[in-house]
Amino acid sequence: MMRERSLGGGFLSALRRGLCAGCSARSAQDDRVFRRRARDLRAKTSNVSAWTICIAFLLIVAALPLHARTITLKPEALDAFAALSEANTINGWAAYNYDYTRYTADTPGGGPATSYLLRYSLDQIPKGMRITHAEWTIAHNISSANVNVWRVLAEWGPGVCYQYRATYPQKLEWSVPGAKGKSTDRATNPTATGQFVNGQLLTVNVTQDVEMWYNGAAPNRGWLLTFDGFALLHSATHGGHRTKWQLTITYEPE
Amino acid sequence: MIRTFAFISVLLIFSSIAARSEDLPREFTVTPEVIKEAPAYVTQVVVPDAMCAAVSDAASLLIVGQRSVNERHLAVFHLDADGRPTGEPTGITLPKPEAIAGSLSFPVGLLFHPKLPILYVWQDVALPAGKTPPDLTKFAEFDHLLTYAIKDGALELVQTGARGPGFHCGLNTGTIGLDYGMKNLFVPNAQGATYDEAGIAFYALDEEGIPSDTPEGANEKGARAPEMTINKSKNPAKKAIRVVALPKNLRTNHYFPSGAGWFAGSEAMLMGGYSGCMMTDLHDGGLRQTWFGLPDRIGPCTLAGHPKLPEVYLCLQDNLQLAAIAHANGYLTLLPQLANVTGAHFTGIPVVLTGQSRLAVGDTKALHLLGLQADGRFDGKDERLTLPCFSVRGLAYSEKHGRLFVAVDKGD
Repeated sequence: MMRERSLGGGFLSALRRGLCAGCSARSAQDDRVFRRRARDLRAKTSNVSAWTICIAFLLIVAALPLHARTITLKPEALDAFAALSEANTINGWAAYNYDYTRYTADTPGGGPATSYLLRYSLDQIPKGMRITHAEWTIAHNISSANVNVWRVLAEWGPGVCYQYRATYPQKLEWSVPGAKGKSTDRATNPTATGQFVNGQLLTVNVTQDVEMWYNGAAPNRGWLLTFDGFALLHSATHGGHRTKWQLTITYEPE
Repeated sequence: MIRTFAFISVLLIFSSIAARSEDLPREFTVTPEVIKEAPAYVTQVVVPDAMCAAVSDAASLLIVGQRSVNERHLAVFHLDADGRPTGEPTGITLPKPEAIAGSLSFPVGLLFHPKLPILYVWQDVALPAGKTPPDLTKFAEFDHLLTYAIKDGALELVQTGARGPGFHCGLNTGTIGLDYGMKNLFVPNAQGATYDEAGIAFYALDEEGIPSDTPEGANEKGARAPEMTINKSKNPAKKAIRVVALPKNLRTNHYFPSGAGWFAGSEAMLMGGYSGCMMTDLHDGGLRQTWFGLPDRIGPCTLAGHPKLPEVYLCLQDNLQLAAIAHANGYLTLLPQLANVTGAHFTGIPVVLTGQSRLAVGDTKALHLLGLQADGRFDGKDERLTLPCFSVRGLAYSEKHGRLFVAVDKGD
């Protein structure tokens, strides 16, 4: 980049020298011609320089040995969700029950009898990276419950609910309903534990899980959220509060 | 130099967006590709002000419901062996009581019984402008549900029902649906506990497909009970006019409309409604419901299910957003895929074109044909066909012939 600039500058100097060499006493007309030509040439070389700078910038960006980078996965990166409700064992979207006849999916109400499965796609992380840190913000609304975040071990899919880990194309049961089977449905110990405090978002460290999923050491089957008391959560899929759900991941080249 | 730099930066941003669109995120925006010629599988029929349509491959009939001031409510087309309409349609006028002879009534939903020669029609009536809630007493004898038998290609009215204060009036969205076993007929826009609250109702069908006895289970408290009147039947025992026992009626806790498109799963029934869809859970003989408020923006939503794949489609009316949602036996599951179609103002109930792997959705003066992937989710593409029709709502698809019928206001 700098070399191009000096070339341009040298060329201008040479032109100036050449124009001046043949006439020690320049007329006013000659002087105007000289200035015009010099201006045109400067503009041309300036354009050349701009393009050169841009191309060089792109090359630099493309070739940069990437430094540590942090990305925040919002709910758009969630690729699966389910409510596991003891009150409605076969409906994976029975997230909140007003009474025994009515449920909603867009107001998640967690509790000892209702837990949640959530899975993020990690496709946004480039290949060849090393996960250095990951933390997950669980957007609750009103609660003082303790929450456990479990890495899910069993594969789950369409029709997942309290009773089944999938119902389509065939019914597959959890080893213990509600994905409660330790070391089978979910990890032996929780990845993280925290307590909801009203007015504050709860953020937990999930580096180990994200690293395992990214490396392929374990398949990404998401997390199970369990609660020891009632917990009214913000929906991760509906409404303006959904953006409060955030998975922030820092990675760097291996 | 700055301009050049900015230009290249913009290029870079757009190229990165394009690269990402290949991956098709769960929520995406698509700009329709405008097509000037209708695809070969689209057949247009001229029926002005169409509200709904249905096709029966078994009876070789295409019926279009229209909001007509000249009292022709149904246009009945006979189809040839290739599934093409033959000749001019026959017109049918739907019944209404003398007391509202001057009111504009119109069909809103049509449904052929898949196995019996029966057509169900849901009709509504325009309300006078002004008072809210309006005086509905003069509509007390207006029957929303009409059951026609198909005999030798002709329609014969065999029963009317769903009358009186049990149902809301003045709605242009809402249709009927059969459950998975085709034992019960679900109807829309039943009155909830208040004037604003929508309910649904369903009727057991007899062996001839005629709505009759009450399904098992009592009415939910607080909902007003719809009535069913037998006017006429093929069954001699039902010739006397009578009011059958109360059908099952459920509140939705949401505004009207309800029953804006139905899908019958083997374990649950799905329907479109106000700002979402409802799932009625018939499991274990119980009956519970779950409401899914899917779009963030409020308004009526219509719903259609894929006949062969575990996917339903929810369409926010007069908006640009569509959702494809997986289901398992009728239970919605996982997370919806959201498509925002630039410039769209969707209207009516979507129709799945199984043979073409597309979803047809009406618009103002246009038809959208959205591509579907092998699993039924959107593939990120949309074609937009301009049509001579103010509001494209009369859509029906023939599985047998792989043909989409579209009712338009006038010919080319």
